[in-house]
Amino acid sequence: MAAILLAFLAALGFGSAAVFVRVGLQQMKSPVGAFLSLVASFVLIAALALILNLDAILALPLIAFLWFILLGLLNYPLGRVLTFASVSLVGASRATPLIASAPLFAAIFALTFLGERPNILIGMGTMTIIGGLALVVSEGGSGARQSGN
Amino acid sequence: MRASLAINQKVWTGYAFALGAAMCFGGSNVLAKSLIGQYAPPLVIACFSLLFGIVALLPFVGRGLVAGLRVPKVQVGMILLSGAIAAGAVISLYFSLSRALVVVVSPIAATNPLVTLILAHLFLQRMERVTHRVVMGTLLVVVGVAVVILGSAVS
Repeated sequence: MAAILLAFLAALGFGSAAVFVRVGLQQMKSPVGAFLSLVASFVLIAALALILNLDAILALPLIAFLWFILLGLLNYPLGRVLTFASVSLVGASRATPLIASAPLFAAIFALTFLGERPNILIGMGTMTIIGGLALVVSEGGSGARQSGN
Repeated sequence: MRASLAINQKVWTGYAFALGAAMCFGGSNVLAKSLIGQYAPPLVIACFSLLFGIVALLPFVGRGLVAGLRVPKVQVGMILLSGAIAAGAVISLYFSLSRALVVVVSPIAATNPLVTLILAHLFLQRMERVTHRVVMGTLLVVVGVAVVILGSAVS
């Protein structure tokens, strides 16, 4: 239950952050705004990580940093650049429903690489969420996740 | 004929890029969960993924960063606030991934566009239109989340 509440909190956080970004980007270019937002996030998280997990940071093997680089690339530049590129080619109303299918790919990758085995309810729920998001975002009312991820 | 082929190629490329973005966002959750289990706590994973994301974005921002900051301070403040809120979201997401399956966490966390829509409608001078499609989509998302939660409780 705690995990589900945290997932809701994440959705609330990403969703509300996007609203503040909309206000802030009225005169600022979006790459600059995205960069500033990430820097603010990093400062906060780095401070917490240094205070609470300094031992874990110092014990990190070198190979872990290669994975962190990959994670950072997937989350931020690659995902964002592909999002912007697709929106510029086909428009937000066509691109964002497809981008909203991210949970489907998460499920496929989790099945393949983590050995997770969702039951039929989780599968049905995921497809229903994706369908609902596709309807919502195709109105052009909101874009797909940035991901703080 | 050539023009229509060019347009089709552009459209299919756009769809491919959109699916690529979805794969990146979906794959990042799986990678994060794997790293949390193997190397470090969620905060550390979040910290370094952000750090390398910032470094990778720097070439895209480049010289425009200084010029881009010449806007009203309120807007800079809004961006920084969004970053602070997003930090909380990232922490929540990674802690959630450390406690549950990706197939449970990812669809719930992915409902954030709906939150954006609702908040923008309530607070941003009702920018967003509430149409039948939006209402239907919202209901589907709510039902879908309930089914995922039920499924996680059963499994």
